[in-house]
Amino acid sequence: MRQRPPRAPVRGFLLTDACVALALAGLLALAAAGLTAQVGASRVRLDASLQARTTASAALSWVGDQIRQAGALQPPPTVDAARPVSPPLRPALSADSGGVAGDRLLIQHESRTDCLGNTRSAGQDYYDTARRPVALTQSNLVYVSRTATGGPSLMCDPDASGPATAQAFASQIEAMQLRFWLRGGSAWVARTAVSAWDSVQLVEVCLVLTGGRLSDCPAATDAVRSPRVLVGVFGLRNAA
Amino acid sequence: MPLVLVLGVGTHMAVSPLLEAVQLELRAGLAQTRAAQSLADAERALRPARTRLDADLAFPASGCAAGLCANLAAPAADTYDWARGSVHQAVAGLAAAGWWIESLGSVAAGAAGDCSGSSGGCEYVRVVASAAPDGVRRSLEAVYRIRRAAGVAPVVTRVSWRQSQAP
Repeated sequence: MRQRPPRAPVRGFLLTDACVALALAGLLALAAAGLTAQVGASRVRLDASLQARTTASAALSWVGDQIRQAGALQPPPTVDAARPVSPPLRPALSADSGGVAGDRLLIQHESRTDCLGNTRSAGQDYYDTARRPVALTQSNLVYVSRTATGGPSLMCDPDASGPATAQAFASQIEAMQLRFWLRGGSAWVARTAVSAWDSVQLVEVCLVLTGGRLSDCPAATDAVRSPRVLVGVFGLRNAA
Repeated sequence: MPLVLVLGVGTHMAVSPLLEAVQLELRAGLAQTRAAQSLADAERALRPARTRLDADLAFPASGCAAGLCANLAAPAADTYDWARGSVHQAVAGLAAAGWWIESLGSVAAGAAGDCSGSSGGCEYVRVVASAAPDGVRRSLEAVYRIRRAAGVAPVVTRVSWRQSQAP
């Protein structure tokens, strides 16, 4: 029996091949376009979130520095019987309510520079007629404003003289919650539970970033439940 | 081949922002670590200065000597060149770190409300300590009252503490 010679392979594309290739390419292009859009949107969200966290992290560090040195005393350049060291600043800090934006922290210390970096004029006396420190005493009020230009921000008001003198130093912060550890205490307590501010030894600061809620801050469980809050604990170096 | 190309580009686009995010987080964390390290080193520099207060303090009549400075003779901590200056006492094991103690003055016992009592007197000193590991300088300042009386060890009490961060 004679064997038939093999058929020569067909060269070139058939119409069916071209259609399948076109359809596959279209599907791939659609998938790529969808992926690009998704990645773009995720990137914008991620960038915003990162920027908020970075800013809040720096702000938390700054608040911590302020708390550590709360109550700091600037003695006269030369101490003698006529120019004694002034009494310690007490209380070094206190807090009140900032409404929906959480708590407000009032920090007292003596310094030639306030919380906004403004320098007091040189040559002022350190004492009033009753030998109390007045000229250099700063009362920096730290709070969150939801109506600040540029959106919710952490603010500092030097001398606690009102919103007109306050300036924002960290944006995208929605609220601040404070808790305190008192001398001889056994648990963190809220602002409303503090009756003697002189007894505060530690301060826990919880900053709520955009998209977060005050309820995300540590409460009874002491567990941070959301990445949209930043928490720091700072000790008062000038505590009574 | 085109499929591999598309998948490669897609993967790169998906992963690159995540890598960037991780990089930013790491940078922020590193900056915080450096700042904390500076503070810790400044605290370490403050410790030998505090220990020095327990011994006799023979302040020079003018200028500074061996880490002790006459009243109003200490330099400003923020503008002092801690790397090349000769006023501070260096601390072993800490680069560009050191301290000095400036005499503020003294009062007789009972002369001021802050130094009550009838025996001995009070001496006031300002201690400045500074450190700058990784280029981030932190300076700490503490004011101490030293109560001295015959026959008893001096009682050293910290009156105030503050910190500053020089650029």
